Amino acid sequence: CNYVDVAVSGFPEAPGNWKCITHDLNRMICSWDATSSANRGLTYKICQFRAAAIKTPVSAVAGNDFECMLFFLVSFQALIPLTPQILNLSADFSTYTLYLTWNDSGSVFQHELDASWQIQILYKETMETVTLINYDSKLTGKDSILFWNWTSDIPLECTSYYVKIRCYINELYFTGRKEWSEWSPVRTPNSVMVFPQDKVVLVGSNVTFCCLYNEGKSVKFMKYGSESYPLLRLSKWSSAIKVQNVSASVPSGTNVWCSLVPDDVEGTVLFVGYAPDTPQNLNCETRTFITITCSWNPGRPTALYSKRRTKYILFESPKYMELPLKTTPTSKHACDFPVHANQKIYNFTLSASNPLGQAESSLLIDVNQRVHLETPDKFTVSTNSSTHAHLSWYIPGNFIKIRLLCQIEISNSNSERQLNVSMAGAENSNYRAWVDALHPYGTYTFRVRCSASEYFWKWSKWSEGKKLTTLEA
Amino acid sequence: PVDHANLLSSASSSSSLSQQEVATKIKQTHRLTVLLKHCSEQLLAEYVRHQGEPFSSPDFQPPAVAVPGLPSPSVPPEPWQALSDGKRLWHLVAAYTTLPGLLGSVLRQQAELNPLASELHRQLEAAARQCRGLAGNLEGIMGALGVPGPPPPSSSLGGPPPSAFLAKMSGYHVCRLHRDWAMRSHEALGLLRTKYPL
Repeated sequence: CNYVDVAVSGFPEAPGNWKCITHDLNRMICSWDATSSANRGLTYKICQFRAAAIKTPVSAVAGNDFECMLFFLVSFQALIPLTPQILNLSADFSTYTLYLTWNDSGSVFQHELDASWQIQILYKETMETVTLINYDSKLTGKDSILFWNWTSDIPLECTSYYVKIRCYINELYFTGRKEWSEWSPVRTPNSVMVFPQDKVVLVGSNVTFCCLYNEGKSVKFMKYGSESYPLLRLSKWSSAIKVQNVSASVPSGTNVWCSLVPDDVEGTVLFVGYAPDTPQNLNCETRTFITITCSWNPGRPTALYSKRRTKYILFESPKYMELPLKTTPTSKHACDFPVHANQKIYNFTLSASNPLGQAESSLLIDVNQRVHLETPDKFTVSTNSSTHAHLSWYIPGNFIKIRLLCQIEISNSNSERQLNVSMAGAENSNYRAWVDALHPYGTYTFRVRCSASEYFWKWSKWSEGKKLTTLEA
Repeated sequence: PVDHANLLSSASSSSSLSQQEVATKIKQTHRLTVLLKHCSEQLLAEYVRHQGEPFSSPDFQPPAVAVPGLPSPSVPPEPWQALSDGKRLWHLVAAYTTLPGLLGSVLRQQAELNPLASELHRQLEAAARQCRGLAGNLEGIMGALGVPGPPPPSSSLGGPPPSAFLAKMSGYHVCRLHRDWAMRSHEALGLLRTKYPL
């Protein structure tokens, strides 16, 4: 039994408004109203008679030195969870979304329990309810961080928003009343914000930034990068700075931040760069007659990266096929486009765009006139004579429709000559040639390169060199 | 000290490791904390270098912010010293099982904000690996000492950062907490080493 000393006068009456609540199914908190005549020293003794289940009558004994009265007060206990605490409430203004995190205080209970949460969104100065959402979770005997987000249909900047949550524990074996916890303290999204958020602007722009803070807070200073700017006071809860002629930012952007009393720091980031340059040296050629490879030079760097980088789209007109292309800053700027049967002429347009602008280049080609063969591979030389040599090499690709021109270079210690050989194209094929007028027992180095014969565009690279010694005469 | 005796008695009953092996494991783990302490300071320096002012200025010391899921190491020294060896190990394991997830979130954000900062990305990946390694060692010691470990963590930085600045700020707090926990674990294992000499 627990003894509680309360002053009571007159003949002791039954304590009023007697109730017992538990927050954790472990400890019971009982309270009652001492009667108005309670001005003589009375000691209350509270004894809990444990019946089979948790639901038991609780007695309060009121008595003093000479009188003792036993009151049997049956009270239905109530399970009322502790008031939850919101850990963090932040707002993504670009997507009108509130992000809420809170601690479910699962460690208060020793076993798993079903918990229900109510999340109430209110807005405007009058704190009208926007929505009330029920969210269920399971308490696991340890504290867990719960997340939730809500998207408004109007921009979050338009008015003030407030969030509060409460909890209900559905303990099946608790036969007393189960009630919702108190509502958590109301929270508003981090109300210290700097605008604009994550804006992208051209180099040389003039930009004004404002820092919004709770009434009663004050700004020590506002900086753009490492430079402090004179504060322009807009209202009791906002100040601004004007930054002229901004220069290109580093990849993660230039921070704009306001330092608040006592030592809070809030900020935003400005991404300063250039619109995409017109893609330069746009070149489209085929290596195999299976795909056409277009490559280009991006021109001036934009100083913008990731989701702000320049995106390229290559399409062929008449908009036969738009081939979205993802390039990353470190890769070479190139893109493959399929060769279509019976199509000779291709009118390419390469579009370059980023948040600051768009540019494009075009190129019209006849694919037959843009053949740039791969390097001859598996190059072999052999002879069974003193004056001839047989050469063989492999070139990937489908050149059935065209003739090839191959150049064979024959060199030895004191001379070098080149031999041009024309031959029918084939598909993924080996090609052969032979060379005569060699000196007996002479040591020569051979290599080969090829190109389209009818419309010369580019030589392939040279094959690797191969040495050969002719037989003695 | 009492808890040392209790731990020792429970250790011999609950695991097959001899005291020699426990002491060896503690020494190895202490060495790992030396590496982690050095790397965590390097990581914080590399991180702020890529975020621009104010992060990169030496006197930038914003108030510590609780990162959901990550216990705070700012328990004052006295109460921290007063904890039992088991309770200290419990806190360390709770932190080091949470940190890899948080460092992973920071890596994803930095891959977006600083795509060219390959050294920063490499250090964030290494830090997460080291934290997993240290957590494993600490759990091994706790098992050897018969101390129950903390529950598995739920560790991520919550929803996508609502802005680039908040992404930079939350990454900064994770890297700073990683450095603070590295210093604390180094101290704690140093203390444990004195109690379990080889």
